[in-house]
Amino acid sequence: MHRSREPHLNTAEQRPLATRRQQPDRGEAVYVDDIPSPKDCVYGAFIYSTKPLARIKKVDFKASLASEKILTFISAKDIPENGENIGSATPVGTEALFPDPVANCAGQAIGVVIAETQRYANMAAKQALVEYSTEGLGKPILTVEDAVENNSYFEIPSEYTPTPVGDFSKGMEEADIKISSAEVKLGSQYYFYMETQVALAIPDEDNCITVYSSSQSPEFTQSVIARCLGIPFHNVRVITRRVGGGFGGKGFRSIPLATACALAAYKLHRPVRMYMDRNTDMVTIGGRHPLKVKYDVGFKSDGRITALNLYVLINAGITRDYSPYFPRKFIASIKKYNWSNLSFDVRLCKTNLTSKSSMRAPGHVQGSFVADAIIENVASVLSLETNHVRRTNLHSFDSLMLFYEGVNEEANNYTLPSIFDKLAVSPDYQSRAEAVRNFNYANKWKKRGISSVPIVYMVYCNPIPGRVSVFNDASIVVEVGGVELGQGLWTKVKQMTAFCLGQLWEDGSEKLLERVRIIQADTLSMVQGWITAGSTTSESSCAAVQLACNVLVERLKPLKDRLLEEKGVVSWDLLISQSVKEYVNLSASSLHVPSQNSAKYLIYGAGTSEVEVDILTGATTILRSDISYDCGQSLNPAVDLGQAEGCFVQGIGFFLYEECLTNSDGLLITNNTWNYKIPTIDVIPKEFNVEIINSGHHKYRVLSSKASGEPPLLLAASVHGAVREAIRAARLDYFSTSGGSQGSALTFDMDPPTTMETVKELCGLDIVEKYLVGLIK
Amino acid sequence: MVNKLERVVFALNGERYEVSPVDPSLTLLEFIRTRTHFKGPKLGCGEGGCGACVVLVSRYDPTTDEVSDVSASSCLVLLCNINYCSVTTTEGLGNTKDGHHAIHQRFAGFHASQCGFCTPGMCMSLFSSLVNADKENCRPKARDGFSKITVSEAEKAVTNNLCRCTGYRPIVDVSKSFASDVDLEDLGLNIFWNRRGDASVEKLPRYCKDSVCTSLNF
Repeated sequence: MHRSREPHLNTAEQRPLATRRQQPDRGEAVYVDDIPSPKDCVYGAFIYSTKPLARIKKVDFKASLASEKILTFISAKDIPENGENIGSATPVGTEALFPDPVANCAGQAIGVVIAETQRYANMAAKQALVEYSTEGLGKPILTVEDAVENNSYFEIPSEYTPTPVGDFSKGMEEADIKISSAEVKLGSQYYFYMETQVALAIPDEDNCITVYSSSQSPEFTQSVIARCLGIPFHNVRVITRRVGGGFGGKGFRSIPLATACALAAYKLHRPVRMYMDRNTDMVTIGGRHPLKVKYDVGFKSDGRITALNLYVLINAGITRDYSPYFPRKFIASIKKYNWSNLSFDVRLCKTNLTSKSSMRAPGHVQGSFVADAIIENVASVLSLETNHVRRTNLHSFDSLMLFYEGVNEEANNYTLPSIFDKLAVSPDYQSRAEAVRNFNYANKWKKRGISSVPIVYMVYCNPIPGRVSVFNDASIVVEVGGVELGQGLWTKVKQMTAFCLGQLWEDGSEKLLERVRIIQADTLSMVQGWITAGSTTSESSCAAVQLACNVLVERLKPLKDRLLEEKGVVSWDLLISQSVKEYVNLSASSLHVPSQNSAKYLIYGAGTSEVEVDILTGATTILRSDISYDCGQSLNPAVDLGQAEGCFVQGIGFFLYEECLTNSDGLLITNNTWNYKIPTIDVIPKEFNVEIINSGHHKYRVLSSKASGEPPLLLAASVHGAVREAIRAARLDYFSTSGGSQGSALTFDMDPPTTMETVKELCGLDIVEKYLVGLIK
Repeated sequence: MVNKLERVVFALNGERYEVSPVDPSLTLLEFIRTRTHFKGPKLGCGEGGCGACVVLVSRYDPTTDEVSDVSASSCLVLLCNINYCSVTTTEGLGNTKDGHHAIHQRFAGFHASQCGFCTPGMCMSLFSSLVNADKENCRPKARDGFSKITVSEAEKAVTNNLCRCTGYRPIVDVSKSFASDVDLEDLGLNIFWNRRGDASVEKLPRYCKDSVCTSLNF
């Protein structure tokens, strides 16, 4: 039975009316692949390299029926002369579209096969016979260890370099106990958006092109396509109406496909559609950054940590992409605990693997997990309760400000200690922990565990444009830079529009909601759209809309007041029809640029999870998860609740189920739904309680709200921690019957994902035999 | 001697389709998405692992004089296998023109859809479970407004459908809202009532078990 607690809803203050989202549940919502194919449309599929570092000498196709369907093959040679071999660009770097001629990773797109249907294109791509040559190219670098050996790094720009705190050596001197060179490793995770990468490119007159792209950043897509084709930006219209799941994977990694598609269309003078099949998507589109951390930590015997040093090797793949931003986020999440003194050496390793990109809570989830892994290590060495050690090392407001220098925060807004206490230290928690201990004492083949995790998440706000316009029939159309990915951006923007224009409406803004329509992102209609990422685009889009509406209100209020005097009551329709007659400008644009005070802020939350592990099979059942999430004053509790729950379950996938494995060439071999398992409905907590806490008014945040798109993902680490506790209980039994030491029972490596096989192994594969032997004795 | 199937006749959302000659490797999903105006079923993986393409396939068996209704991953169903069958997609369940099915309205109302890509398949899987539960004559008649399906069956109705956005909990609530033994107060946040104490089936979009005809009627 699945239950969920109701989020607290705002009552007192004037709030935008919560609206439910436009639901594409009737199958009528149009995604890129639903757009009817134009006449003469052809279809493309990528061929990718299976070698990590090889020159592409020739691309041929097997003599087969499928090969006969090939119309043509588009590759680097088809890039226009005044264009560029560019496949993607971020503010910190660009990357090539196709190898010319050296492929730098297994999974790199070599070119596009064009055929009359998508199925033929996909089949034809499998017929490719690529001739490689590795002469004179050296050995590929596949692991972070290889990268260190070969000095293969990406530089971290100085403005994104994280800052240390205090003096590590001094801190170590104050320590009673030290742990040296402990290691934590984290693997990758694939986005598994339900809609794979897709684009439809339609060439137009005068060297122009329209590209429908499922993308989080139409603006960046436009710039790359224009540069690739060697045409001005104003010739390229990129349209994104909605995205069937992004999770960061359509921020930059969608650009190569859109560009390849545009290139093919430009070259062939025909519309081209490319809808990536799932296997190709998994192989070619990066995913989360795998990383390895070695740490030294010093602490007092009461659990208080005095110093922490981290040596972090991040596997960034073959191009910069998002990676230069990663270290700052990673360290920001590490800083959630008061380490007293924190130093680190963070390196971005350049490897011959597909480029790793931003994925929901990039750097944050890893940093938060590593921080808790360190705490757990400390707690087990001291034989103290882990939550007690967590609590001991939570920040005071002063230490929080020391670690998060430059963030605008007030003491009464630092709600983490009270949130954590309620979830992880309260009598309610203690009785549950007791119940878990009793269960473990009484049960041999099933063990339970309970664990908690606090989070401090730093978000950055984006500069986002907006435009609000009113038609003659008084219906309202809104455009924002933000893209609807399912995060409820359109819902919140619609609310904000109605809320702001509500002062011009005759009786509050409820009916006004129905008169508002948000339309698709179009790069020729709205410039500077930026990227929908970082959890804050919804609120930034709302802020942009607020600015635009304020301009409209300023223009219309005098007219409304005048009409009120004349007529006594003025409806919205009357106001607009009069405005039209008097040539009032009914369209207003804006660009919301976050101020110094609002550019970044901290989000707090905590989670407790209880699991039951079947020792014999290794299966984990999540019995209950409780999340407490400080959402400021939620713009829409239903949306934020949905984000929190969805995040958390995606996090469960990262910590328990989703394992990315590569072969010796670095090619992803877990590349289909049969061997890569995202959470299904039977995996979620049986009891799932989410509390969206509404905290106080905040001057600089959009209507005092806080972001919700990514931070709750970190709380899924509580599930991992709970599994660790359950395994610990199993090992205590195991080692006591086999006469091992308690120390080796309690300390073990448990790097995520903790799959069934891992659990079984950690609990002892010979546990049944040992038990039977024990019975005989 | 191999029997050649020279034409396939079937109904799709009540519309008659005749395909001749039939490409033996043509899947139902590809046919729907490329040869009809329906776009509900989505291509999520092409290998039956995600459920985004789920449709309802109904077949009349003359020997038993019964119609069987099964949910199927249309990416794996060959057109050749659905001769004289009736296929229903989410558009056949309900649409803007003909009115929305209770399943659609409840998905919206319980916030069970975020990016929306998995939703058509989810709706059809749930619909299939409801139809099959309601067909079972050995079960007692359901309470007014509910289906004969039980809470535990409803929870399993979408086990083969993946969703990456919602975390499934609200989807489970939608499924359970149809169950004969559900306590509506257990269900989560929705637009139909403000407090758990006000939960009642009258407030929910009404479920009529025979509102959608799934069998061939030409």
